[in-house]
Amino acid sequence: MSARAAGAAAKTARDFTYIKPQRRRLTEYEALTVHMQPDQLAFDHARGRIEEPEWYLLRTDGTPLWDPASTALQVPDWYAWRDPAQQWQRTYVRHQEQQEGAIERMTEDAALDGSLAEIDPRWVSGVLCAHYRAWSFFEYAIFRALAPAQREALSDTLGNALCFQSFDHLRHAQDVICYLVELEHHSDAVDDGAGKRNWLEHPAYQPARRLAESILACRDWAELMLGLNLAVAPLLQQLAVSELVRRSALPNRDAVAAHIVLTAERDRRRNVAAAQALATLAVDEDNPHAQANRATIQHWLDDWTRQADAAAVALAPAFDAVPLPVTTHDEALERSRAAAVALVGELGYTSPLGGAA
Amino acid sequence: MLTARMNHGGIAATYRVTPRRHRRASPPDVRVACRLSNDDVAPSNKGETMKGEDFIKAHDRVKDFDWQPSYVDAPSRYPMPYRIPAKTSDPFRHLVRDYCAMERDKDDRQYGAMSDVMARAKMPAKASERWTEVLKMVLPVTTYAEYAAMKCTGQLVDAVANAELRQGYLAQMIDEVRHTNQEAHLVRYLAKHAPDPEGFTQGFRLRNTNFITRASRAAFDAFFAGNPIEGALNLQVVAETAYTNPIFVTLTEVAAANGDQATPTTFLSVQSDEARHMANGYATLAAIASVEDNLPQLQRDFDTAFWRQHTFLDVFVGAVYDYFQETRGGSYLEAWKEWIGDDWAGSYIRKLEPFGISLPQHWEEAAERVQWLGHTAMMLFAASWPMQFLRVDPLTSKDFEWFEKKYPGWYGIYGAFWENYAKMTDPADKQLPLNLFEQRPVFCRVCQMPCVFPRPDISTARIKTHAGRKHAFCSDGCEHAFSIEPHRYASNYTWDEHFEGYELGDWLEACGLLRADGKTLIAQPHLDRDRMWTIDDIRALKFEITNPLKDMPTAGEVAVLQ
Repeated sequence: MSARAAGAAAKTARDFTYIKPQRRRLTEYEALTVHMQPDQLAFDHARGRIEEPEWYLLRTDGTPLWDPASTALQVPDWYAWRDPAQQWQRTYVRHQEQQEGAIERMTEDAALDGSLAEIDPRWVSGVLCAHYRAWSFFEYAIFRALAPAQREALSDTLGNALCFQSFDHLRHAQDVICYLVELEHHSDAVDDGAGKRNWLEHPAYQPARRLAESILACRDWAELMLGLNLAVAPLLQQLAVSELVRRSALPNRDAVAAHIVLTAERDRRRNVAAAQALATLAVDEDNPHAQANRATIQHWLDDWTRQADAAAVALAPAFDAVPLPVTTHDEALERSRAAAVALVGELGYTSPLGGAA
Repeated sequence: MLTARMNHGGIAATYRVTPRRHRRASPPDVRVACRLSNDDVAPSNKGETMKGEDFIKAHDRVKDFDWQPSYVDAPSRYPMPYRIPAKTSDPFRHLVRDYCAMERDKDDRQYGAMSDVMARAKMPAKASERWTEVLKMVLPVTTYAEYAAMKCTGQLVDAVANAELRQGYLAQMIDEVRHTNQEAHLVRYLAKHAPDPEGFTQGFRLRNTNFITRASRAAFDAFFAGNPIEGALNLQVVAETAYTNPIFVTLTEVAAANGDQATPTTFLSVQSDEARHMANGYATLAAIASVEDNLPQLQRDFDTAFWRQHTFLDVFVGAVYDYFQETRGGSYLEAWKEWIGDDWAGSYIRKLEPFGISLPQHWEEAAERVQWLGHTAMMLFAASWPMQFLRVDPLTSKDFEWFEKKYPGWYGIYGAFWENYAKMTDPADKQLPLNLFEQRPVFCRVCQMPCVFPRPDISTARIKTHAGRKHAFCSDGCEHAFSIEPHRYASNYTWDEHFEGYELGDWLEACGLLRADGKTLIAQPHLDRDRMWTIDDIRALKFEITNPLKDMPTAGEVAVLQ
């Protein structure tokens, strides 16, 4: 090799130096995620004579493939957002495989040692079938809504996070089904159809179903990410799943249901942190639209909180079905509301449930 | 029952199509499977954590999640000119639990092998440099295809109100994130371990400035730019079912023969998911075809989808396959005839004719063109070598013999160019092979490819106008696509419209096509590191990028079709 070539080679970067790492070093998550989605305004601008962003093929209605109007928020660089959990596919699937493996082993052990057969039939029919199975439809709605949200998201980092969250909710919905299928071998109280009947007809679930249909109708991907994780999750999912199923499960001798919820809560914490990071990015002090974004987010949080609260209030009858109650609906609602108020308060927002920034 | 079984070195994909007596009584039944090994995707219940009846029960319940909204109307954000039946065949018989276990196992094997044995054995350094060079462009191209596929499946989940199909789309959505990450990981791996990393680290950054990678965008954007079924036809029915076998299976044989084990390790793991995607495509196609009113629109979208993918993939893969082998084996034409001609067209699409789906409108033309496309593309690619981000090795006499054997008549058309190319590789000679051509080609408004196909001497290019703007089209198929929906190209510019007037040296600097010393070009017309071209060598040639379209006569207005 000549001296000239050796000089060139000696300084050659052997990594994706065009990615600006969030911290000192480029992480594997960043290297495999950032700039996978073309950014016609900046990173992928062709640097030629044409200044405007170009699109090789517009949508059928003439709008761009990725449309800034897909969200009401305005952020100069959506690619600056990073998943606080730094999940890429391998780490995400490994994590979910571990969670599913743990649920599967626990279910198998509980079946073999007779624990499943010892569960109070009233818990099986009144909570697992009538409530938790009904709740699985809510989880499914979130899966459905987040699939197109990932399509529309304005950066790869955000799109991938939404994709993973979509998967989280289908996983949770399927876990409920799989558990009840196993329980049918050990309990005569299983009525799988009760969940769908309640979901479609029972008054206690109609506000939740209305909310689920609003989620499915929402077209703003950022609104979904913030509303679901900062308003709906801490209030409604906390009440319907954590308070009612997980908190009551162990006193009612159901370790498996408690464990399923624990895995969903782990996913929920990850998604809440992701939404917090998005909310923070949207109101970054260097963003000229920060004030407008803050007002938009406040509006979204108010709207989704009201809907989630209505759904949470309506779930009171579900608490009455717990054979050995450890909490009341009122107590659980109070805790859930407090958690929801605290979460938005940490970000400097008010809640229609009370509390100030 | 008609069965077509494809088998390549232990990898098999099986299509079973069962036509019903009454054409539209129900969708045709289909099973599509791909077998890579006992541990990969299998059509049986292997890997399923629930057994027998429990699994069937759980799976049936998973498909019963949808309900008719009664509080808030939520029409799909992606309206479609198709009606989808509520119940169809089920292409995906796994629960999330099984899916995670299956994919984790595959991930562990792939990443484990790459980080352990291959890295310690310094395998990337032992691979053919000629072959390794082309991966600098291949991998960013395929990575974007995977990313675009992820967007397509998000649209399908939203728009296709069918529980069976939605389960399959969800798994594919995560698969596509997987493939995006896998292929980006391979780029990074090679950037770390390849003898010449320059180009690997720039591929993603240059995807809108290089004229080949721009064309890949034009092809793969179609996965998710139109209605979701248009996307599924582009992605699942054409790109995945027709082309992933030649790309991810046969091309890996070329890679392995040329000492590259990292690419086969990654690509075969990718391909183990593709059988499920093919099944998704078939189930989607069968569902749409089962509604007679859908057929005219379906055939129209299918025709366009095939041509879009053909104009990029056959050109690009053909050039990669034939021109970067050092240890030579089969040709792209042979692979094409087997995988796309016989298996895809013969055993997949033709069997759908009883259901009202015909081979794409321009199929015969494509089959005729494919013998020339890669050669024409590679001639232009090599002629414009400074604009690339990889090194293009001149052909040897051994290569010449192989080409003439595999493509009789090749030498008479392309031989002189390659002989001249080999004489122009030294910067001291101060010659650019682009100057061998009397006129530089214009670029197609639709596929963004140079309008030189199938061969410069029998090019089907034409210049037309629409809405006061001049457009070049490379073929009937591209002009037809434009004539159906001209408004979808309104924000579209060709490579030479962008860069007209640039002096080549300025363009190279603007695009960041220089090595770390700031002087030596990333691209070179040979693999010899002792006589590399610099920016000064290029500036001395005073080459200016022009837009020939401006001065070319037009053949009238595009006839817009409603």
